[in-house]
Amino acid sequence: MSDLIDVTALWQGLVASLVAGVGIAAVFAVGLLGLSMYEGWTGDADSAPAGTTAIRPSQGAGPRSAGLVLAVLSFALVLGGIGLGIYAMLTAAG
Amino acid sequence: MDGNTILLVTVIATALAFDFTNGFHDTANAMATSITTGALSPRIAVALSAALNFLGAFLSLSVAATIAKGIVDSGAITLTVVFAGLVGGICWNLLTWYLGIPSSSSHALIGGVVGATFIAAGLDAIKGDGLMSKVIVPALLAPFAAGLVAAIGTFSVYRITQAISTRVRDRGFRIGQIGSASLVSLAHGTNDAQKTMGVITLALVTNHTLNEDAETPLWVIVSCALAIAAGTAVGGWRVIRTLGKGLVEIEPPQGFAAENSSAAVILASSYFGFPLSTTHVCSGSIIGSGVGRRLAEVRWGVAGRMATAWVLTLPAAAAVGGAAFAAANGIGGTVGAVVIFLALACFCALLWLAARRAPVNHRNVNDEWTGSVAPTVERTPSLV
Repeated sequence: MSDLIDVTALWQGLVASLVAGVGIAAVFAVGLLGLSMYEGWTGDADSAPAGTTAIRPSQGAGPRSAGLVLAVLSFALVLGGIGLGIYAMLTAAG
Repeated sequence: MDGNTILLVTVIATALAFDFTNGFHDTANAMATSITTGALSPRIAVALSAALNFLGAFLSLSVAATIAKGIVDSGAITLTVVFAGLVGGICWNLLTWYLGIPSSSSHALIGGVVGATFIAAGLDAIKGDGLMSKVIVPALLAPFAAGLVAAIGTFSVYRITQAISTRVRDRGFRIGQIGSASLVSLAHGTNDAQKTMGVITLALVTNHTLNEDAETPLWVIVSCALAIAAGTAVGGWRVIRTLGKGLVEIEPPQGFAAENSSAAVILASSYFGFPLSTTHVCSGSIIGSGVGRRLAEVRWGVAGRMATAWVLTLPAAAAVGGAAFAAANGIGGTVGAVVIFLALACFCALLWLAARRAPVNHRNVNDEWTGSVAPTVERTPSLV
């Protein structure tokens, strides 16, 4: 196998793909979780009667602030990941 | 206009036609899941993808005047071999488009060139090791690597967001899909337009119109960018439908995880010098997103047909490329190439007319999957 392909490059690519592919998706999901904490929405929203506004009252400043911080940090990381992806694209193309 | 110039113009026109088919064939890779989940409307999705493919083409700063480098003997490459290889690639792209099967445009082009080179210069001109290491092994690895990343990513996002309302979750992931799909489109434009630029540059060098170490002319870059963007804008709805509806019934978290996986695998593998087919990666990601979500249905029959098409890509395109070279060479000179070009145009027209009998367009691309690429309910025919 090593005669045919660069096994080192293969492993590097696979590990980078896993970190970026799973990592960014997971971090984005955490951001959504933080956003929902900030806005006070939970799974209860799904069971609300049709036609009503399914928003729970605010859960208090603590969880809401934590949710906001979590969302901002998470989405910032995602944007950083996108920047890294564009850098990789330019480096590979150039 | 002498015979050489006519041949050169014919090759360039064929290369741009290949770039066009590459565009509409591969639109689905970036946008199929976004269209299916409603993150983007069909026409907005293809317009966005077209714009990003156009932009991506200009990010390709170094264009190599090579084709099938390391796979065929460069000394065997002539204008007629290049032309015949493109014919092989176009024919396979169009046939798989008609059948709604995602397949690699890169492998189709390489297959066409390999077939034409085999007829032109014999088996010794084909480098088996290069074919194995640059085409076959990556083709085997790509869907599994992408599937693994997407499956783990999908499982993770569902676990993390299980406490969030479905409405909020889906809305958030639809927004995320716009970003991840855009990145895939940009990467596709960077990689694939560069391929055709390389083909045209090689044709110009072979014809002594350009020096070997000259920069790629701006008109080549612009025309390739326009061709791939135009192809993307046409839509390739048949392949979009298979990828978006035929393989897996996709929810927004799956769509996001799949597109994110595709972007990560494509960019990481290119960066580390191990480029993979965009089509193989994206298809593998979509299947992986089905595996990663509990109770999701993966239509393994459709996946099997797709895998069969992938296996057939190299030999089928090679057969057409070889036949095209033999016919063009048999007729002789520039006339041979022009005759084959006209035959190719007829083939394209026939397939397009056949597709109009069971059309797939932006209106019905999201209809329920009924087992075949075209929905059973007839709608107003469209271009493709």
